[in-house]
Amino acid sequence: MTPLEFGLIAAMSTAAGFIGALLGLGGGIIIVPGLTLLFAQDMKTAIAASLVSVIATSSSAATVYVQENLTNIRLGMLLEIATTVGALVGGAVAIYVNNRYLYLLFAAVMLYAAWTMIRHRDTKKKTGDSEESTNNRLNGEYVDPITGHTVAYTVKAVPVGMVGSLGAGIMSGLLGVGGGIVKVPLMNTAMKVPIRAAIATSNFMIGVTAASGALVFWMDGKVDPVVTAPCVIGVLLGARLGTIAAGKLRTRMLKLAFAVFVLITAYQMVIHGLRGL
Amino acid sequence: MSKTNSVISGVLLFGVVTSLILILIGSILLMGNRNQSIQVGPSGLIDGILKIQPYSIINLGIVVLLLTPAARVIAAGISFAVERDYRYIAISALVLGVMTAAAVVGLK
Repeated sequence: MTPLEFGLIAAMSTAAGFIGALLGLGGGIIIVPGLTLLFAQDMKTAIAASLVSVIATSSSAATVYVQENLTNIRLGMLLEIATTVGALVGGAVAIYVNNRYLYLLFAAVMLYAAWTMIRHRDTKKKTGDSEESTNNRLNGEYVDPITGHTVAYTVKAVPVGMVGSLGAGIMSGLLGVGGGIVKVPLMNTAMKVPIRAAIATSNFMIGVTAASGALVFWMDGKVDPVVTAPCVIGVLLGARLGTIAAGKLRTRMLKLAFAVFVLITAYQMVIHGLRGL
Repeated sequence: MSKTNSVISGVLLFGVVTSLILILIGSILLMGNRNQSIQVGPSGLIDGILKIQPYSIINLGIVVLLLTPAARVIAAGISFAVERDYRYIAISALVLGVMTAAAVVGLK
């Protein structure tokens, strides 16, 4: 790899981290198509590099969320049992399966991500009601950083959460993404966790989940250090810049731009999948 | 719980920063001399690190990143032990067990 190529992959990853931080995505959904479509890397190399990058962004963001007490550590660790098993299975399958299926699945996940991005989201959904919960230790409380109010909530539907987390884990190990697009709505809607806590807890789980998937790839010699290095450097830089810019930019236009990007990219991924590259 | 949060946060930050430094050093060495022997995965890693091979330095940074979440699980497990929360000690151990299994599966 030439220094120019290295720099270009780092630049692409910086953009992925930046956009990811602004839109609440891990960046994996941009890094995988970036590496395969722009830099002609093998799909499995791209998935492995993306998984490692996702660990970096998740761990970096978690340092802040955990300090702010937004993360429900017990809930996260309980669901991690399911996400890590899923990621192990997903990673093992990804290594053996033909790349064309990975391309097609990835395109489907991208389209789903775009759809969740542009659809109207009702974040004012009433959470925490009076119903008694049996999972007392899982209940959470945090001070909303914007309103300053203390928010207390009761965690519901843990079995549903476990099953959904297993699915999110499989997706993560199979495709090299964090799986937040599955876990955040799952926790928010089914488990009645307020959106801020759901985002922080999902992010918290992503490090352990992606590490399980990445360990399968790494032990098998599928993590290419030279492709992974610029991805990690870039995505950490980009996520940092994105966090700084977050309050200053209007994300509406960005979401629309992302939806257009996804349509073009998903089309390319489908073409690759059908040609069996 | 606040102390637990600080410890977990500190473990994650230490892991990410250490990993980033190693990956940066390895990358700079590699760009300085691109005719290096390739080293991926676990085999030859220690040998490569001792010879300060750029590939292996980057690879070591990646290993640190892979182990950072595991270290975080251990840190949480210890804090659950201090609280005598046996259920969550077991959960932490189970998560670590699955991560170990993932590494074994990768080795085949």
